[in-house]
Amino acid sequence: MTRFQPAAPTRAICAGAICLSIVGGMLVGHAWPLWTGRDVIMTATVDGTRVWAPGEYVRLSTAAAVLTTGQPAADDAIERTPVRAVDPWVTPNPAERPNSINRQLRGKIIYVQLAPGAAGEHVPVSVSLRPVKDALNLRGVVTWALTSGELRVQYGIDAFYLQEGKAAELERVFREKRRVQVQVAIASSGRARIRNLLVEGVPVQ
Amino acid sequence: MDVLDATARRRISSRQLSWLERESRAWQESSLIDPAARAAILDRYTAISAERRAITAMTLLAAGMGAVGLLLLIGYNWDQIPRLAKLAIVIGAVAAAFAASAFAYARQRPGVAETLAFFGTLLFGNAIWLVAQVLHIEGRYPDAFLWWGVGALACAWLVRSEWIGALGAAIVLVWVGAEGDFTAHPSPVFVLLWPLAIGVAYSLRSSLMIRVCAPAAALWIFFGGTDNSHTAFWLGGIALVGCGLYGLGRWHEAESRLRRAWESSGLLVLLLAFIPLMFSEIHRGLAAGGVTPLLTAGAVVSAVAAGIAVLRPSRTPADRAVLGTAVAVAVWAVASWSGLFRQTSGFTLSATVLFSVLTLVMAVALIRTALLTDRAMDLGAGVAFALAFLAVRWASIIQNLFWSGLLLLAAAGSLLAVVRLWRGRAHAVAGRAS
Repeated sequence: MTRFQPAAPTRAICAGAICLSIVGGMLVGHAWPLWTGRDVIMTATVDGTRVWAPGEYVRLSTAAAVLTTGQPAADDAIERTPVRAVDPWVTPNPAERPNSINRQLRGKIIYVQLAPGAAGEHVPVSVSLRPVKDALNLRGVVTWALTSGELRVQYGIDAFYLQEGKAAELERVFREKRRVQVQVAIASSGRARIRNLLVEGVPVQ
Repeated sequence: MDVLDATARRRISSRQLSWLERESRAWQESSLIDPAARAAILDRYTAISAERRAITAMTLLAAGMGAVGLLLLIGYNWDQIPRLAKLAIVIGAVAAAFAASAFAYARQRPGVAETLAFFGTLLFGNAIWLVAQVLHIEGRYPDAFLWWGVGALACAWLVRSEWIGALGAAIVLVWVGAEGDFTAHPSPVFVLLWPLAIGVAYSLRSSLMIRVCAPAAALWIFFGGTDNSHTAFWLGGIALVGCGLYGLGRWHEAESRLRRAWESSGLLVLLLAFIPLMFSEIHRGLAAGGVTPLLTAGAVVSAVAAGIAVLRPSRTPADRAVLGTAVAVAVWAVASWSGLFRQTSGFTLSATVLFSVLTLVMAVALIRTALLTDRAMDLGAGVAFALAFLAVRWASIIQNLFWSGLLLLAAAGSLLAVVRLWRGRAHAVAGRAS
């Protein structure tokens, strides 16, 4: 029996189709929250401008970027948002020193529950390893954790790309203490994407 | 540049091919073989000329620069171009490259077609990063390498391109590093991706892919075990992976290029693991117990891979040295892990001496193998082990001019002896040939 051997042009087309399928899948996966998600507004801070091959962007930070499940230190310059740990959550190891690195949490997926604050903007209130029923869950990955309860989390809403040269303008606006907010679309899975950046309520793009 | 029939013919250097042509003509004239046999022998080999290699390198360089240029142009992120148009440009470029590749294949231009497919694979990587830009994503960046690697390996297998395969293998290697940077937990996806890359390498008979991809196994153990860097199973596990990679090479024919690729990868890993293990500070810092399932599994699998290589015939001194090393490392790792000898004052010193001796044994065995089998790769590896031993031991006595001087004199004498032996081997081979 002769084995079916597709011709070289067919194989090249198949290779292209595989690449396009992967890009298409990533595109749909990433755009899904924008199509189906619920929009919320969060206060943002501009942490600086970065440039690399795919473009120039401003690094954004929200109240959900640095959390703490423990007692916030009063004499520290870093702003941590205190949140309640909801089961299931990691059990602290009493043998570990309080400010040592918690390697068990690094790279873990967590869900942060958001609730509207006094000004109508959403703020984190609790954190869990699983989505909490009937709550607005924001899915993130822990990039850094301490045994004291401090967590640094990435949600995929930490960068806003702009035309080259315009990121510096946005940084200046932020330094002038003008109100910068991020409009985030959150899917039912907790995945979030930036819909737009608002300066004094006006969309940037 | 790889062509579609490359898997059927062995690639050798132009010099080897002209030697074979010359010698086979002499055999034919001496009636040792008939013309048909000579033609059949020559048909088994193909050579790539230096000119063609240079053209290939320049073409691939141009493809790489073109892809980066496009990445930067889109990266400028001109506000005037709508988001959908940017996506269309990025995705359209990938489609156009592969469509042009298919067209070139149809026109019987395999070199051009492969270059276009290579370009398409680079553009595919661009597309992954630029989708992130268009949608304002700053997410889990190792995943971008993962999907790029998967796509590149699939393309390599489909268009039968060693160059795209090498690109895919390099992306897998980068992905392992990116995962290690991003998370403390080893990614289980590696268990699927690594065999996939190795499978593509075998499908293309590509030693280049093996050379790039094989060390990724050690890198995975390295990053996966950083939490347990205080146990002997971490560096010991990496050394055993080196032995295992070398052992895998022994399941190939003696002159197989794939065998060389496995062996050189294994020796590289072993050398990199031995350098820290020759320092007594490393052994002093090791603690008993605390081994993760990954390190245990990695060490056991690698030890088994090295061990079953014993079953293979035609062992060289280097083969025996690697197997002896695997046994010694396994015994040391278990002894250190158990903590039984930790209280013994001489344990740290014994372990330091053990790895220094193992490094020297590897150096001598590889040089002996090179002399016996006429393989320059083994000579280079043997000298590399010897230089590593020299550098580490010299570092420990660098304050002492007398011993430093003696050590360097001994090293210089040994190196000259190796040169003399190697030259003598060359004369012996020439004598046999004449």
